[in-house]
Amino acid sequence: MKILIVDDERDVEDLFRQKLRKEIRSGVLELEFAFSAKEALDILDSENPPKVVYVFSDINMPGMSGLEMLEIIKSRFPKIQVSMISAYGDEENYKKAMESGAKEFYTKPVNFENLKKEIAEIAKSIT
Amino acid sequence: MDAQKEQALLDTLRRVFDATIKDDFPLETLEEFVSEVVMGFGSTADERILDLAGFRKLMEIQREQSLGMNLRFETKPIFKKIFAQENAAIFTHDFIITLTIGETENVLPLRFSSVFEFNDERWKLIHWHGSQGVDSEGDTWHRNELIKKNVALQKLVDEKTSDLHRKNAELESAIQTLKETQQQLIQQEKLASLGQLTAGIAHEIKNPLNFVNNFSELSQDFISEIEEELSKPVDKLDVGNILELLEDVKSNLGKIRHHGSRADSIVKSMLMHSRGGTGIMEPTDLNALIEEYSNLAFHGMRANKNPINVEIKLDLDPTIGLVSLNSEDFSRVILNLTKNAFDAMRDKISMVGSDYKAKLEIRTKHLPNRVLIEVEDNGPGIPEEIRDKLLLPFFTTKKGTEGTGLGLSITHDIIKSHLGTLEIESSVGEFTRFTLVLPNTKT
Repeated sequence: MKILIVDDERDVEDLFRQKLRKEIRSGVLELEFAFSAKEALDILDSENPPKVVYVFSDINMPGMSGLEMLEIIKSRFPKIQVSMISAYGDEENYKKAMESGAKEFYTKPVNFENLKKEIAEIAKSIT
Repeated sequence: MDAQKEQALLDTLRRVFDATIKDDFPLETLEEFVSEVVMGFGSTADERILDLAGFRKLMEIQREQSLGMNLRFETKPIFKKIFAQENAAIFTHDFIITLTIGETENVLPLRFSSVFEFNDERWKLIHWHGSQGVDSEGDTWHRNELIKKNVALQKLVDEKTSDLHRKNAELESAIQTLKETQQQLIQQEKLASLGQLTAGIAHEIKNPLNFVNNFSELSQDFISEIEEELSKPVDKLDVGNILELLEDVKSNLGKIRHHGSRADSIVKSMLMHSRGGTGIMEPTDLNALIEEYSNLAFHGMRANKNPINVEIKLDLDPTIGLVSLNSEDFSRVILNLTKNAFDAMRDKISMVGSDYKAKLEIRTKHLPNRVLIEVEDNGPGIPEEIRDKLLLPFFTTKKGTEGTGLGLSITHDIIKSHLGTLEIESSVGEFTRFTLVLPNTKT
């Protein structure tokens, strides 16, 4: 199962790879990274249909925000599940994300135990 | 002289005084005691009398001019001489007139000399002289009088001067108080901008700290995993896995260090900001400063109440090199301009709704011997009529206690202290652009 992580902080890649090391080693998970919303959309557009089943994205990024990207993904690829992460648990962003069809709304620091559970659920639902 | 003749003389003198002052004096009787060839001088040009008609005219003029005044007089004889044949007499009097106009009393002290001639059994005034009396007996040139006047004037000047000195001192102390108040206000404004930053700074510190925590936690896990691996029998050892884990631990320690110093530099710049001391001009990476502080302002705004989504576009010219700046002061300029832009765009969002995409652009550009900085937002714009008031201290469009009105004024002062210029362009409903030009002699 392939998931795409979108964040402008480069070290997020290493963090996710290490946190999900066992899942990656065992072949359950395949991770892909994008450092902007545009890059993420390019990755999704490059495969038809996209192999990515789950997108995990930051909201505050330079250029296109994660919320705008969420709307675009949901309209182009309604089957892909998207969860948002924000540094601030503000009401407005939460509401917007949920209205636009986000699966979950995480606040930083990300609770990886919860994330792993969610990934396991998604894995179960697609098999 | 017999008593009757002397009484007649005194009566005549009396009538002269009365004719001069009393407005009900029958002027048609003048000829009874004033000679046809009377001659006299007063102190003004029209008081030059050469005959009785002239004397009558003078009396009429005086009567006209004294309308609405209440006149009173008293006389004090100073000199009196009756000539041998008792046909002529000279008097000199202090002739003190009190004029009452409304509630004000004015005293006019005159010196009046008169010459009377006895002719056809009648005393008549034949010559007179009247003028403002001076206390100058035996002092032809009025030297003492002048000295007295000078002393009086000097006294007046001294009084006015000491008055001025006192007022001057009062003004100076008022200016001092104003300066102190201004300093306090500037300090308060600095603290207020620090307050707005706190949330942004907290976020900026929290982010690297999250990495520090995560990477150290992961490293601990990996060490345990390595220990676990090492406890296996030698032939079951997965050396590849151990090396991979060790590589990660090593890389993580580097990341912990990197994010630790990132947090450290943020704390340093926060301290710099709150110190309120005087920074120094030194070659500064202006682009990095803009990146750092626009980011802090953005996160500060995001973490404060009513956050808005803003696209921030930085278009920074790498050829500007190092710019001579007081980075402590100049960071305040970037913070202030970006914060104003966020506030303005928030207003536009509440006016036109969420279809509007807020966008802030910051550009730098190398110009010959100068550097251009533009901060442009696509917010509501600034109406023409308040544009020239923006830089005035205490001018604010923000409601209640949201703005001190000092932000842009301090920003302008900082730019001026860098020998730079600040221009504001705006179109209502479209954009506002602050253009800064600083001297930049590349070394």
